[in-house]
Amino acid sequence: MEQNELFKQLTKKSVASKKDIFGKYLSLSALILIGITVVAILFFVISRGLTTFTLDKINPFRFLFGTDWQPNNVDKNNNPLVGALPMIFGSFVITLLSALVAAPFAIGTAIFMTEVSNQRGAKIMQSVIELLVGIPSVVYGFIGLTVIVPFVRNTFGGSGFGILSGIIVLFVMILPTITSMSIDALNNVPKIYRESAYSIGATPWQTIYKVVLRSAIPGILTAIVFGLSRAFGEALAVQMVVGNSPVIPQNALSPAATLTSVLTQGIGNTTEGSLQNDVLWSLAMILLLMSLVFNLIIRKIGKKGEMKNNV
Amino acid sequence: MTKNKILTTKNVRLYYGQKEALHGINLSFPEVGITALIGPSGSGKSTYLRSINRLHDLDPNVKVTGEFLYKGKNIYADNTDLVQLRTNIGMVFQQPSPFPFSIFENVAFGLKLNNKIKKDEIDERVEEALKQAAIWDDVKDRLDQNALGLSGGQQQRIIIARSLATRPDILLLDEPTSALDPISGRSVEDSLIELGKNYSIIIVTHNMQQAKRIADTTAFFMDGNLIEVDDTKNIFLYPKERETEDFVTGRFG
Ligand SMILES: Nc1ncnc2c1ncn2[C@@H]1O[C@H](COP(=O)(O)OP(=O)(O)OP(=O)(O)O)[C@@H](O)[C@H]1O
Ligand SMILES: [Mg+2]
Repeated sequence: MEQNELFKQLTKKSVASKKDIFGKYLSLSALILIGITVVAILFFVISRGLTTFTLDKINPFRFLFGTDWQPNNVDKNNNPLVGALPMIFGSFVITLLSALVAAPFAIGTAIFMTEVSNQRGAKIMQSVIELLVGIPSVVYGFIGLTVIVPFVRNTFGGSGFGILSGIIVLFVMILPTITSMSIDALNNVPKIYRESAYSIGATPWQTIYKVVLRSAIPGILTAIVFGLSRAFGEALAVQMVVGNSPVIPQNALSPAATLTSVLTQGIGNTTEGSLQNDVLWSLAMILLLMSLVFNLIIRKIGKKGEMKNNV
Repeated sequence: MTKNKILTTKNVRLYYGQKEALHGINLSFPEVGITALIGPSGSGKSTYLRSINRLHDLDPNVKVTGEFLYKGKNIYADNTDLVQLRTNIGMVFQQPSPFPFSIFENVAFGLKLNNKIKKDEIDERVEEALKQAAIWDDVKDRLDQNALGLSGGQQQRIIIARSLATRPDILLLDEPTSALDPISGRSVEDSLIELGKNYSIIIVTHNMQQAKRIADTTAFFMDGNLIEVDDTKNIFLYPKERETEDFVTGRFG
């Protein structure tokens, strides 16, 4: 009799475990919803992006490597002028250069904040960086338009709109992101590495660059790629200063265009279903695929770093 | 106690902020031999050990007073070369903590800090240090592999080799085997016993058996005071102080 009671008690689901199950289903359904959204976006963009090549019969090779971008015009063979190389090139050059310039500044700042400055200094810097991360990109673009473009014009000549201005604006935009992630990477280096290095006779500086920085390389690389991917996807601020001229730039001052800037400019001015609209979707598809590549790289690096620190 | 002392500390007091954590420690160490520091948790063993190679300098809130005479020179003098000091007085921590580099780079780390040492000599001294730490045979064929791939006991001996490579006189160890399984622990102990013949070794341990097995001298700490120091045998068999007796017989903590 008593045993029966006990058995019942043990097999009956308690309120807590019911709540547990409810919570599980709730988060599972949220997960499924997100999954569906992601798949839908991927499907949508890719299927629309491919229309250019299937329906409109554009040669993908000519799309990727053609240098003439005038979707409203055709060449003498009656082929539409939809060479996307200038924008692909513009996006990569501006992104890579801005990250390349930002990385040393970011790493330097991160080292200063984690290893050198006192706690109060670090706190002030931390809030400044967080503030910078939170500024909307249109504000950066606006500052770029009113400060950087005239500055470039007055210093180097030309219109001021172009690659260089784009790089400067993006540099300022991604600097805080890369910095704050590098700070995390440095802070994640175990304290015992530092103490060990000191105990063997390393100077503070040797400790930083021979041990701390080196151990944090995977994290710092992740930060840089993250900055890259943010720069690559940034549209508004770049569009405001880059000059929006879809030709392969001749030098750092020439006006240029990026995938994103052409997209934001064009998407409202084309009719759906037209070739002009389809090619923009193809640009969007390239952007999407590039983001996926960046994410893959980040994961790869992250895995490697984990392996190194946990074995 | 007639042997020459390599390190003598007098009236060492240490403050974490306002709190005094060491209340005037007088303790000295012979040129060769193993000294064990034992005592309950929080008694100040690590604090004292870390003061010997000035590791507390990293924390601006810590203040140290008293005298630390290393070969007759005061370690805390303003003109002490910290780099030189720490090459002479090596330190091994509780957690095996090789850098995430190759075995060779770990052991050569201290040597490469000094540009003057030639490559041949670095190779030689890495081998010498690994042999002294009794780990050479385990790793000689894979010096270029990541040290994090070794077992805990092997890692700890790599760390010991890393300290030895710069040819210190004193080796400080803070519970070096407590994160290891008994067999790895014994392998590290065996290395230490060998090293004790040529170096002054100061080891913090919670393992009474370990102190008995390896230490020539044992010092008992409690509440930031040095209660008693004597030959290890005397500490465990004929302690003079009541607290020591309670502790070594297990009636305490
Ligand atoms: N960074 C610190 N700041 C403030 N107080 C500290 C700090 N480190 C240690 N203490 C205090 O100093 C006292 C001695 O600590 P210590 O770590 O030296 O003890 P221990 O003998 O090594 O103990 P255990 O056997 O647990 O390692 C303790 O009361 C501890 O709380
Ligand atoms: Mg301790």
